[in-house]
Amino acid sequence: MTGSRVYDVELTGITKRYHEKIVVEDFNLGVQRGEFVSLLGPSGCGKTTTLNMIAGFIDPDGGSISLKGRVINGIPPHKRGLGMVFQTYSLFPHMSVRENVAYGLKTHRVPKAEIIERVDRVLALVRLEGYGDRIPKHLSGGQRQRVAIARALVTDPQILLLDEPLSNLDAKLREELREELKRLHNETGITTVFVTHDQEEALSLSDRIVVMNLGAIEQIGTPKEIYGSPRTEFVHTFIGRSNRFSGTVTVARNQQVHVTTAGGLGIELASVADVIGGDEVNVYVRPEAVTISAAPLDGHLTQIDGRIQAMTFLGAITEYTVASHGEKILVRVQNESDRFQLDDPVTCWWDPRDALVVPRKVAADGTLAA
Amino acid sequence: MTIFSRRAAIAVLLAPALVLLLGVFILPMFSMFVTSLTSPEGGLGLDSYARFFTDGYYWGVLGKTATIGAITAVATLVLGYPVALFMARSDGWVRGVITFVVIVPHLVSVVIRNFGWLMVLGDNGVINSALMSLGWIQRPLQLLYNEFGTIVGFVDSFIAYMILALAASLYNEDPNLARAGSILGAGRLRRFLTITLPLSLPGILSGLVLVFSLVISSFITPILLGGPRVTVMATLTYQQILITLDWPFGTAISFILLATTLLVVTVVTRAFETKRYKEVFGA
Amino acid sequence: MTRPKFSWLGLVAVCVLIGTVLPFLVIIPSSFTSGAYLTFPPQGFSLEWYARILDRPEFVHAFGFSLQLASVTAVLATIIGTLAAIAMSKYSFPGKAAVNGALLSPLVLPALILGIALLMLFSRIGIAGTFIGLLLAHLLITVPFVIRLVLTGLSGFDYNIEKAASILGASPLRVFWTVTIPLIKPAIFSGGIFAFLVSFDNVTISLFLVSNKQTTLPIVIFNYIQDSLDPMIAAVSTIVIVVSLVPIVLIERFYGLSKLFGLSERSETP
Repeated sequence: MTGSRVYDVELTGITKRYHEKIVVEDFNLGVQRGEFVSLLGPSGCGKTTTLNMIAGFIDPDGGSISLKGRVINGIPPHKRGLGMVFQTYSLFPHMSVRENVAYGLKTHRVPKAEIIERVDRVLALVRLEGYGDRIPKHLSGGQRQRVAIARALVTDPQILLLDEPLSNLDAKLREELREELKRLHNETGITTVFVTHDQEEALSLSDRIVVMNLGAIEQIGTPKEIYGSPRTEFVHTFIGRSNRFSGTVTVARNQQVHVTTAGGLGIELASVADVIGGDEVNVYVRPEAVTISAAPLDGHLTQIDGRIQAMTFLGAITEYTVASHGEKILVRVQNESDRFQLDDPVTCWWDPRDALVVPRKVAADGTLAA
Repeated sequence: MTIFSRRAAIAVLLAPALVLLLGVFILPMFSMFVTSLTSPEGGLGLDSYARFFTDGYYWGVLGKTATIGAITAVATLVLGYPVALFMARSDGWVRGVITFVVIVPHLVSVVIRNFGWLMVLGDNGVINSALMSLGWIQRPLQLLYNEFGTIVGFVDSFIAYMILALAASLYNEDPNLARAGSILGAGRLRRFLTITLPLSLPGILSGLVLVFSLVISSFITPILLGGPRVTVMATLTYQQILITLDWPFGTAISFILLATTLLVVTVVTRAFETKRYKEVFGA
Repeated sequence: MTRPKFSWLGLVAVCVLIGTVLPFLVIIPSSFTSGAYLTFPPQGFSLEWYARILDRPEFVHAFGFSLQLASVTAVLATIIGTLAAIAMSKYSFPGKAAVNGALLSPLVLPALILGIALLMLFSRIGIAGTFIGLLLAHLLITVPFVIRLVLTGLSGFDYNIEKAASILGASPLRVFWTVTIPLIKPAIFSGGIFAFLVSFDNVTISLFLVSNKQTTLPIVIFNYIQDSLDPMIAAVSTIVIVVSLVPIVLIERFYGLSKLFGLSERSETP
């Protein structure tokens, strides 16, 4: 507790190993009251382990976990006062909807009359009035997950933990329930930690996203920051799509810095801060950051001449693949702008500040790692 | 859910079963093995094993035991295969009823079932009285208190194991294989011989091995249906332990029996497991 | 697959199946004979031979003893086996495969050898021929069945359900009683019934461990039919068949017999 602010959930230096394999390393995160925070990453990145450590199902090997300023390491899950929704719904199959939802109230010794009232209220909240006497087997996947959400919310938990709650649903239901989650979060204002591998879910639901990879945090930021200004190579490639150019840094006499690819493509860089001439680097640019036009432009922008090699119509936008100097550049443009045909000569350009430059690691034997 | 309580939970849950296993299984098995190595003078020695292997009579018993085991195993295969195949080819309530009829007799005590066969096979039994009243025979056939009666009892006792082993194997067969065979011009018998039968080899193997090992260690049926004239390894052991009270020799025989089982199982399995078999059914 | 019309396969199968139930088809009717000798088909009908059983205290006593032994065995085996199965299913720990193999191994070894080993141990510590000795022996051969059955019942068990209960404030014990146990009740119940059946019918191990006073019904029958066959023993056997049949029907109703023998094609998720 260094700052003056008390977080609803605070993880400090959390580390977890299984048989010497690091699953989560030095994880630091503070979740504010009412915030919706997503842990996003590929499977095996440690996001579920982190959630299970907050829930108390797994003990961290190091670091501390606090809820509202109180350290809860070692406190068993049933004494943490949390709500949790699981990927597999995990409803009690031998209990009716009503009994499922009432379970947490019974364990907390809530009086009978109040249980009835609160169960009714939360079933209304998830729009399942009239389903109280069904058993889970006779509910659809979406209904089951709504029961699971109701069961988690009914006890007014301090924190709501969501463990990939949408991934077992088909595409349409998933979208529907995503809206439902958003609405519930707006209505209840409950502090929520959400684990997902689906970037769309994370981008659309979260106040902040924690992108994780190999047990470590790659970047924490608002959805806009994560998508618009990815700070690492991983975030660039994991979220959305990116163009990657591998090349060597050259510094011209006028102090202009370029990266030249093996095929001779020259890319202008915005700053010279982190690289020197001769460095091997990767340059990442989002397809949305690239614009194409029929003729070259004036000004200090990276400009690449090429030809349209492929195009895909995607409704509101069109995706072009532009071939130039042996590279393929992916470009996404809104459909109201100019249309091009296959083989049209075009110029691609982007603001060098939109590109991320990352030095390539040199392996021990002198070869470059991708 | 700390690491400690997890370990404690595992320990508490497993403790009763493990204590039982250790005290009533591992410990007595070990001390029994030691007893089999006890010589008549009291010290340790292989006397009991030597006594068995140097006497032709005991070799004969061993041979007869293995023969009865092999005949029973093959008989259960021949009789059980049609039942298992019928189970696999039917479904719904038909399969349910057959499964029930296969399993239920097997769950009633072997003593009761053998008693039933005493009534069927005896001199005044169902078969002999029927044949005599039909005038086909003048004197009752000797169906009981010999190897034949013993094998009949064994087949009845263990056919359920064979059928279940075969059925488990036959259930796995993709019905489209038979269709593919018939499109390619194979008739019923050919489809059976070239598709169903080879694919059920694992079931046949496990059924044979299981029935054989069950038979050669059984002593109730040889006592009841074989009588004093049929001496097999298991009845020999039983006599040494409970009647002659020669425990070192009795235990030695039972370990020889166990070793025989393992040997036969290994040899039969090896014989079955050709290179192709391993490729097709191997893990 | 359609309803089988006529098939040679079906005919052969039915003949074999009749063979396997033949002993019962002979025993049960002949127990109702009014004649003095054991014959098939029986002569007339009477319950006389059932009444005669009551004149033989050794049968009555052995019947009570068997019921008692099987009941206690069933209860204890269910508890021990269920606990072990839960440990095996829920947790992974070093040496788990070995423990699993060891727990099921009493079923692999011939009953003859187990019986001898236990006789030798029990006579050394003085519990041969006692209830407790028989109980321990029967537990040894019934616990593996319970473990196997409950493990089957637990396969596909979603342990997130336990987590869900726990995060809702239920203590581990409460989770166990209100969630875990109710969900595997059919498997536990069948395990217990099956343990009863195995214990009640056992001859091969009991034979080494009974005494003249403490003996089970199947052993009394075993000894009796070596000397004489009469309608009275058919009546006793019929009673044993009925007592065995009740648990069988119960298991079929609550769990499915074929699952018991690993023949389930589609396992229902609990």
